[in-house]
Amino acid sequence: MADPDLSLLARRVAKGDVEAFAGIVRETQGRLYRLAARLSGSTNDAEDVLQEAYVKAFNALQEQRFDGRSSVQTWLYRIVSNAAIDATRRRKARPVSNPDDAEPREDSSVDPEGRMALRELDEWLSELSVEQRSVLILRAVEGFSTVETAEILGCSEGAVEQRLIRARANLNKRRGET
Amino acid sequence: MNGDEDLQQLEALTRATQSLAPSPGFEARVMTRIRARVERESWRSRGILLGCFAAAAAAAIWVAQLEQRQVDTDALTLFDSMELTQ
Repeated sequence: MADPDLSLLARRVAKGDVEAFAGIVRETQGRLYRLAARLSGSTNDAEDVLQEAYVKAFNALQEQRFDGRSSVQTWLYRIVSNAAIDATRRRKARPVSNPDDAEPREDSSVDPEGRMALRELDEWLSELSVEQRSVLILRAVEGFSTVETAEILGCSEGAVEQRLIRARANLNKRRGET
Repeated sequence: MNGDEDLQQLEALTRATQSLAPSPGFEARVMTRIRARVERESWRSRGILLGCFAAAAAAAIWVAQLEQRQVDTDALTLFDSMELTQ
């Protein structure tokens, strides 16, 4: 996935042009927000995750920590995926003391149909581990190759394939039970 | 249902979530946070610079005072030796 404009903007940010970062946000926020929402299963978490991810990306660019080995887009996907995976783990680990907390409060500005579909997707993928879920979403939903998925998740290509097989098997097993 | 149907359902749910987008003003909120961070960093850098300048000035004053004291001592020694000679 070539992103010459993003590379240019990233170089400008690295040279101290703060406003160039707005271009990166404008160009990528839709795709990255959907990725964060699909991985975390919550529109509320998605926005927080994405905001944190952008701040991390900006810091890395300013401190010259982006080495340019991968494309800017893949690199941003990596930051957002890691942040969303952490948020999902935190959400799963959080004990639900109040029944009202079980259902996260949703932003009313978000399209209700999309929100409902996201809830359904979250429910459908609920049997999968965070790792299996992220591989399935990146490979089958976002359309990344095995190599790119491995690069985004920071694991081997073999691990990606293995998680994908397990994810599909778990979905099959769940279907058999229902 | 088989694996293909699983993928079809996944695709259908994915399409349905395609309308999701950040709430209005998201980009502005991100940029406000980033500008605030840059501003904070800039003040920190200025603070460090000011601290270094103050330390350098103090060191310069101390060295100057030290040199002045040395000159005074030398002058006094010279004066004493002249008095003794006379």
